[in-house]
Amino acid sequence: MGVVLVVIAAAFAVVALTTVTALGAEHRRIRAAGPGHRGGPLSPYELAYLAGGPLRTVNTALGMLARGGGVRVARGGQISLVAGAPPSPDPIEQAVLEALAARGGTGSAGELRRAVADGQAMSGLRYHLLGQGLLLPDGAFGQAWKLLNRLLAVSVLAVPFTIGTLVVGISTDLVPVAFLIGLLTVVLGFSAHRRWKRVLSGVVSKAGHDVLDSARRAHVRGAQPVTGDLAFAVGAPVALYGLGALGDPYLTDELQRGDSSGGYVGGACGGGSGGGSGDASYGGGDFGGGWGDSGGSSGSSGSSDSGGGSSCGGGSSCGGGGCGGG
Amino acid sequence: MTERLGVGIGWRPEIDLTVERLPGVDFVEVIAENIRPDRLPESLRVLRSRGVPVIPHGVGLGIGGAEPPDPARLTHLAECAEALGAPLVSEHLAFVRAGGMEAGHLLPVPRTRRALGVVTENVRRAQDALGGVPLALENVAALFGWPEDEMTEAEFLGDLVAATGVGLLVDVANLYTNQVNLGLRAVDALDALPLSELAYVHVAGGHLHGDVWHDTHTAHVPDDVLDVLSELCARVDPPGVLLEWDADYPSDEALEAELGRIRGAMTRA
Repeated sequence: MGVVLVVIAAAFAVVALTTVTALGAEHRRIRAAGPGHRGGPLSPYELAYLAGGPLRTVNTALGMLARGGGVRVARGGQISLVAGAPPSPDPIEQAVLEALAARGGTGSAGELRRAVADGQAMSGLRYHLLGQGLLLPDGAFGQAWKLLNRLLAVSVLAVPFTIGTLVVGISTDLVPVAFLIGLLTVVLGFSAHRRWKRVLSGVVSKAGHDVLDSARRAHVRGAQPVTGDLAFAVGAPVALYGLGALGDPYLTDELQRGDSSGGYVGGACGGGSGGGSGDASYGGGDFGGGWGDSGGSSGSSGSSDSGGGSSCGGGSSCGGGGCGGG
Repeated sequence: MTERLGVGIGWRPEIDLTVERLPGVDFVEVIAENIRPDRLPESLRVLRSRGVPVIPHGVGLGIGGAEPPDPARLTHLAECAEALGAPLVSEHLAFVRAGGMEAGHLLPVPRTRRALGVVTENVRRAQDALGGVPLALENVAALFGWPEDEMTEAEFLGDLVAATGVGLLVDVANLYTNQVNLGLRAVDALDALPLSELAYVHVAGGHLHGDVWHDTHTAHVPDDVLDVLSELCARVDPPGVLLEWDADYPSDEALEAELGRIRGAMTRA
């Protein structure tokens, strides 16, 4: 009885081990398959997409625009257009500005992230990176995902087996060996599954990783920028390390909030905002979940208490209904 | 009524961080109807913690109406003043509703002796409700005057100040608006206003459409308005001057430059 159990346990372990080995080989094969990157230095938005996915990319645009005077950040993560600011030539920044304009000039950082992350400009950036061989196409890891499912199946089946060995009796001849092999298979199997699931969710190619490594050497986390150039001083650090590298803790705090908060009531002029925080997950690996940034989390849903605004006009004084000054 | 305020800007939620971080903001004003005294915006609490005076500015009291001011609105103003530790509260010499109907604008008060008696009583009620926090009233911009007007706005305000001790909030942009739209010279108004009771001054930009000046609070302050400010400063040293900007906010640098222009106009006098 004990020998049979050991043989079964060993079979579970062997299948799990060979699957993990095959996963590693498949992963290496696919990542190395693409050509090396031969283009010039990447823009902050290209780097941001590689380092943190669409949400990091939007955050980089918000950071660049906020520091560059293209948008204004208010408490509660409310972003608004700056009157008289020049138009941006960059498609991602344009998408942020257009999303704001579509919301009457003001929107929460959270809703802008969602809108722009799902927008056409982001798709365009993704296809551009795919064309450069810096991202891997969807389905590139199809075989690897099958192997991963096999690993999960083996780990799950090993659970009742391991429990069963206890039922047979741990003091019985060789059964403790079967129990230990089964337990190791379960623990290591689930652990490996979790790790590989994260790895396979990353869609950056080896060339993409090489470019990122090179950029991280050029822009060391926390280093003082040697130039005031916005793309270098703000764009690249935020792209590589998240909003925490924006260089302005006040703006970082507010941009990391999802929705409005407040204490300001709309009065007769209404114009409230808010909405749920929602969530967006771009998987693990290089595309960290949440807001794809340095630990920033979305705020809770806000009550509609931001806004106010005014309705001045005419030759008469402003106000009268609870908005604007006189 | 003579507390020194300096140069300030209207606090609005869209520019809260800007106002907090803008150099040279000595005091701010907040639209009283848009805040809750028991739940002040964090930005205002930050400003207060730095010692920046915050003035509740009412736009809906309608102290110039025929009916006594709404006790609930007065209580709200008083609670705002208390929560903010405000040195004063300001409102408009205007009526905004009648018979339960809201005008949506700050309409000029009929400037008759009879109306003066009614408004004087309204102001006294407001002063009582504010419990010792001074009240200042602002001149409005008007598209028209009432046919039965017996005195100018400056004369009306002068008598009101004499009767009640209420302070003055002079909006030089409104004086300029009346000059363009109604042909009432701003300097004449300055000469007639009881400037000794001046609490502070409003400055704002607007737009000219055709031959009508729109006091929109959404644009660069024109030199002509700053000239009125200089004229005022030639007559009295204003305790405070505040820039009003209510929408289409420009960059932080542009707002800072605007405050600099105001300071320049004040010293040009």
